[in-house]
Amino acid sequence: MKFVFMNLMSYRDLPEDFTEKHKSVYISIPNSLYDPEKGHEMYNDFIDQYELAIDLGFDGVGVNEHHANAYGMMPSPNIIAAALARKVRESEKTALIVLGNSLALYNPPIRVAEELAMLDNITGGRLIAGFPVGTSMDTNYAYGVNPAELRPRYYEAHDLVMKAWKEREVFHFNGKFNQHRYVNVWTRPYQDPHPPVWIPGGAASQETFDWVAENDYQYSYLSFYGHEFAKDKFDKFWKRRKELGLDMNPYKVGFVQMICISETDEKAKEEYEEHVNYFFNKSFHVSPEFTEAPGYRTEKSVRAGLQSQYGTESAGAKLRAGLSWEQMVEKGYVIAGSPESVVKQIRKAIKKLHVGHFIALLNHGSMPHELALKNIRLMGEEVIPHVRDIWGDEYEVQNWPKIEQTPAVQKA
Amino acid sequence: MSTPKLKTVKVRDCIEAKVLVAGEGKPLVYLHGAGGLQWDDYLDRLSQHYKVYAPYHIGTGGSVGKDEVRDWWDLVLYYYELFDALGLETVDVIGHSFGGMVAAELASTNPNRVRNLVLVCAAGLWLDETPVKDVFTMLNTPDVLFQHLFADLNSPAAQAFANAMPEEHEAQVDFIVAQNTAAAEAAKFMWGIPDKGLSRRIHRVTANTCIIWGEKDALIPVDYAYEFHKKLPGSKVTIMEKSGHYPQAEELEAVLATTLGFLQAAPVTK
Repeated sequence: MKFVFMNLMSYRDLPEDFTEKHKSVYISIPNSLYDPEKGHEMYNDFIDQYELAIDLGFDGVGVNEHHANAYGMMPSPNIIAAALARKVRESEKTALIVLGNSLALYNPPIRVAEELAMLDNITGGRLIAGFPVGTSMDTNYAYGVNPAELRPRYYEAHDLVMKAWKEREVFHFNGKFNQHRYVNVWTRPYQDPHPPVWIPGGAASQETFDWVAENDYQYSYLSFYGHEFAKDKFDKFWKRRKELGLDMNPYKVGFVQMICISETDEKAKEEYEEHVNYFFNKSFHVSPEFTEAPGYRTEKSVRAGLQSQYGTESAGAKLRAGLSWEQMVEKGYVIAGSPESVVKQIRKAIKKLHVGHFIALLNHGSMPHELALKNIRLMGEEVIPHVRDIWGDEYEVQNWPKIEQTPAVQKA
Repeated sequence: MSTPKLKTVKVRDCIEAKVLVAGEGKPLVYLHGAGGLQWDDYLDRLSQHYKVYAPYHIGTGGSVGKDEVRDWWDLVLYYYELFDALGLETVDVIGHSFGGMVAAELASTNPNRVRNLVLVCAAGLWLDETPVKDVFTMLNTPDVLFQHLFADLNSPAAQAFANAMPEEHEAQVDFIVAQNTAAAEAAKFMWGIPDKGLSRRIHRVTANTCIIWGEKDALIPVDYAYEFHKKLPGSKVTIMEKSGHYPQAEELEAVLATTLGFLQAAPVTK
């Protein structure tokens, strides 16, 4: 079992009346609400949190990409990844997971091949490369990509990046959106021919499952609505893999879960409730204007979404709204409580979803730095050791870098 | 209301257009907006005087081959080929909203193809001081969209629009999907800022042009009527005082009279 710490890096100090005064945390939020002095502190706290996770022996640290919002302060995941790369290199075994370069946003996409190759070299082959399509807010609104072109651009950029990593000679690329006479990614990846690839997404569509299977990638279902809401998506995933005649190796999937750990169940509620509420109510206060541009999903997916209560992320938001702390825990939106009870809940979720890569969100919304550190520490010291062996030797670890337990580069 | 015929037109290998056709007489092409094609009273009344061809925008209405029509120039050429397939060498064209943007472009790129041009609340130009509203952000909030489309929300035209959603669940799903697809396929050519360079080509237009606009258009403000007029010297402008973005629905008789008066009076050559 692999445990990854991911920090959404939400701006933690939105005003009390934010939701009343502002329509959206995304796209239309005025950056006059952003205080650079606080931002300076937050960025450094967030990086400290990552570094603690590395010190505690988390199997991986993950970064992701979001734009024009106060919900995740990582417009450039590669910059945070670069800030962590040296520490990762020196750690016993931690991998660096860039859970997202939204490929269609890079012009030319060769930039992604270059930067990720640099990170792979610096860490000595500990990089995992994630390629999400990205949300409609990030791609269509914040970066202005035409929704009709988003997916074709994504797939074409993927082909270009992968080819750039695999080819050993300069080549030309004549795509619909990218025409390059000369492609030559110098500093090719440390891993040969390239880092493991993860495909993070929130739609859980069969098209994506098939494409992931075809390329032998890992699929990461990224949702904030927890293991219960995720159940039918994972059932669909495994059912499809069976239909395709593929194995049931849990390392073919990743899953994101919000976690809150304290000394006791009661204390967890006391310490975390307001911050989880801040996350759902403020960090995730997205105006319906921007939730989805027409054309972001295919007609088929739009139809499927209308026919299923659990079809879309906005369905998740509706189901969660108004739930009490106890209900959120009961329905799996958050895993929370004492280390013992968190161990039980995680074990249950992992078994239920049949997942090998567990991405733990441990810093939520307005959480003060000290509480985030406590949560990360309890996860690393009192939870992970008791759930690490869930899959034992039953399955081979896949879609993970082959990390030598000694640092690839010795310090002088 | 007459029932138009749904005609399938092979435009070229891999592309099939769907066109609603009704009436007899001189041909008249109508290009619809981002809301999709509805055969409404305006089209019905026009078909009493003309043979009206109303193509579904490519990617909607069961047409085939949208992936062959990738960008703006593909779309322009697609329309010339559709006109060829329909035997329309030179034709009168009405365009509403997004359809107006296309119609103006067809008349600019090859002025020989469009004899008389009617632009109803047309997209295609951009004024920094008066931005066109981003209609695509309104699809998830039908109330907001509704408020931007009509001047008088209680008018029969507005109410008919507001109550168009069928009650039965499956029909509702079809309705929402069709609406979403219509917007998505228009967005493909309008995304971001719906100015794709028309202002650099509009000087080529030789068609007689009539500009019809709702005074209270909350999506494409009436300023754009005057901007089109400025760029199309000799064009006729009619402002409908009690209308929003759908003057042909809110003030049907007046818009019809203006349209017919213009088309029938317009000289054959300029």
